[in-house]
Amino acid sequence: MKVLLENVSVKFPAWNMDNISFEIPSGSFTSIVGPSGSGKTTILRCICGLQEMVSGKIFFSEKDVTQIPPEKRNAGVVFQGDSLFSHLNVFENVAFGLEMKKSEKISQKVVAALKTVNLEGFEKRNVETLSGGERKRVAIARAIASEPDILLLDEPLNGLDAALKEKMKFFLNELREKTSLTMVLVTHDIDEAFFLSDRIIVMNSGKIEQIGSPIEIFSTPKSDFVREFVKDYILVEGAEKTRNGKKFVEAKFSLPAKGKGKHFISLKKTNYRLFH
Amino acid sequence: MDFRVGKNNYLRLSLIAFFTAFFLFFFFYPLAIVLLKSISLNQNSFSDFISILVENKTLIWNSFYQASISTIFSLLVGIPAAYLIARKDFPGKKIVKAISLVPFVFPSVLVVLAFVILLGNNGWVNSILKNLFGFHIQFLYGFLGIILAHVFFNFPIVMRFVSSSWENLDVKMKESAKTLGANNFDVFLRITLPQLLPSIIASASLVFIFCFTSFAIITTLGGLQFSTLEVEIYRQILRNLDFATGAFFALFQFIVLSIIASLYFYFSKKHSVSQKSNREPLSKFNFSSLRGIAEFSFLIFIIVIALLPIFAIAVFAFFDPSTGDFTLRAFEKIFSVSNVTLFETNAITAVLLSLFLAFFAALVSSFLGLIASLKQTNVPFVNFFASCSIAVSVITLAFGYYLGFGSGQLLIIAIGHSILAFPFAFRIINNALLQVDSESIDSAKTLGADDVSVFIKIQFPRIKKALIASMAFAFAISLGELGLVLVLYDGIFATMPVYIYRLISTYDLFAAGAMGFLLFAFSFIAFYAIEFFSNDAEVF
Repeated sequence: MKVLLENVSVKFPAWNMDNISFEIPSGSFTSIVGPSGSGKTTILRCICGLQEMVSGKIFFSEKDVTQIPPEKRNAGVVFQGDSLFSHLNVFENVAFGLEMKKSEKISQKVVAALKTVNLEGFEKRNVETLSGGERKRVAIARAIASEPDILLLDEPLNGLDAALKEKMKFFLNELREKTSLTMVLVTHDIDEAFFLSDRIIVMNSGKIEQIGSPIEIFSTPKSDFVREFVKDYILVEGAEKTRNGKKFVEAKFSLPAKGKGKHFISLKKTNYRLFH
Repeated sequence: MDFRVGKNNYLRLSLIAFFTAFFLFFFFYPLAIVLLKSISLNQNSFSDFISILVENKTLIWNSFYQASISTIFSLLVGIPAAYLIARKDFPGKKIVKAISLVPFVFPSVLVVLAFVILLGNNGWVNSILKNLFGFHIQFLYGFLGIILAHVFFNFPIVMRFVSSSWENLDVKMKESAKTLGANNFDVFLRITLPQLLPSIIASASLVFIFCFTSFAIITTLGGLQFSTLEVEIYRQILRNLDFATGAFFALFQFIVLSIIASLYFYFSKKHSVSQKSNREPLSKFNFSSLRGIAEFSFLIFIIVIALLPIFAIAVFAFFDPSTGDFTLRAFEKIFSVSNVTLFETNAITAVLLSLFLAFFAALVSSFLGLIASLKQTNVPFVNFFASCSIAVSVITLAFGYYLGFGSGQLLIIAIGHSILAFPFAFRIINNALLQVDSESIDSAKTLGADDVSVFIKIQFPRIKKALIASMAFAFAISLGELGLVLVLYDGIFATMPVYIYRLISTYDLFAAGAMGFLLFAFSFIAFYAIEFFSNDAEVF
């Protein structure tokens, strides 16, 4: 589902966010990236209806939802602290939204949602006994169980250790392929944004610095802030090669030399992304 | 910062209207009447007010003096007690910690009763002294009696506040100070004490307020010549029928209490305890050192002074001093049909009335506390309502009801008890609701839960226990409340505390012991419920 923000303004005691407008195309994976306090979570809260706005409008598809309360918007949200209901077990957590929406075939839908997040058989588990990654996945299952129009993820990888973060990144990719949901990811980590999204919104102190595809953000940063943000990344154009019947992409890049003698460059296999 | 739509739904608006109307009508209106009455004193200028104050300087001096001395001694007992709880590991610690509820749930009239039994001229201590040494000490009916009772009653407040911040001091700061060359004394003076100061000042101001407005202890243990503002307000209303003077004293007291109450609120905010992970490990008593023995003796001292009054009342209820046996005669006496006319009311009615008021206050104050605490209602000025009530003494409120609604109305007394219990109910429920993280609530909303469903499905299951604790707290407060009923009962409704108070005044300690035991038993049930259902941090 397409989401449109039109001149959204929010007022806080200490800072303001003025006239934010952008569109989230249907079926896209959009990341909102920026340092803490840049307003990215606020935008997420505006989309799902939790944030009181001073002015502006929000459209889901063509429908104006500005006056619709969060419980009627059908936006799935995964909050930063995962916010599982500690007094309910896994099944009851995932079923919560379905019950609220008086959905039919609740248990089938819960099982299906748990299957999507690879947690089959976890229904009866107490949420306090789950690991960090499992908790996140239950939170995601809870958000997607009632088939939301859009899935909003607020720093879903925060607080996970490095190995788990990598796993969860692949999981989110997989989730997107499985569900073809429109997804919005809020993160301070440009790595995640590059790895996962096809559109990136860079924010800084309540303003949008740039919107574009990862390649655009890389290759033509529009401001010093964005340039600073992506300066540690290397984008190289590659050429397709076939070797022993397998396709490869080959690329050349150079790094400033240090010292004398033999040089080595190390790369992490998991931390790259191929764009077309 | 709540959501935009559904914010002004009718349910929310009617809850806010109910809450605000309740407080305006049953708190601010009576208060306003009292304050307006004070103007009718025919004193037109500021210097006239000053001259009334000068005329009554002994009274004012007495109020400040006894409250200050009581506070100082409560600190002297309470701070070492806080140290024991925060730093020592010993069996039964939970029970010692539970003592801190005493000032809130133990009826003041029972303190009076216990003190008369123990320290009266013919009390246990003096009987022993007379038999062994042939002399006795006049503990009660004077300044000493007031101070002893106030310290017994209030040191637990200091203990509770100070120990909770002492427990949570970051041990790393202490360790850093030591690596920088500080010895134990330096550490205490430069690191520990400054961090405890907010909780010390907060608890001291609360104790000061409680002692300043103390009623039963002053009138019975203070003797005739010793009076304070609170007692004088009562006398002016009910004995002299001089409402204007009574109201003037109430106004002056209100100003004093407001200043002290702001101190309390300022420092209790700073005191708010954050749970830190770097707690210092607890140590056991070291009986081979003088310090360890002193610490242990002090612990025993606290336990004895906390339990002795309860023990005294329990024994006295069943012990007939004229025959020297254990009997149920005291109970027979108060409940016998022939004794119906002992006072204006009989014992059974007193018990039933007390229970009615306590249940009413439990339900109403907890309901008000819930409305005030819920995010969904977001009642304006809630904290203002809650803080105001601490600066208004019970007798002042009773005076306002007396002038505004007349005496002899049971429902007004019940509402008054609900108002008195409200700050406690609000605090317990609010703290419990704050534990429910806002993300859970936001999640529930995005999953389709409206305000009511959020309450039923997310908040209520997590605050069930706190609600019970809050009701138990309000129950106990209403059960032990004396001043309001004394002013308003108009000879028709005597509650258990009034009944006991009257019996003590006529020196019928045997019968007072029986009723005291019953009152204690009910209070103890409430006390146990609070202990069982509340977290440590929730109450104060």
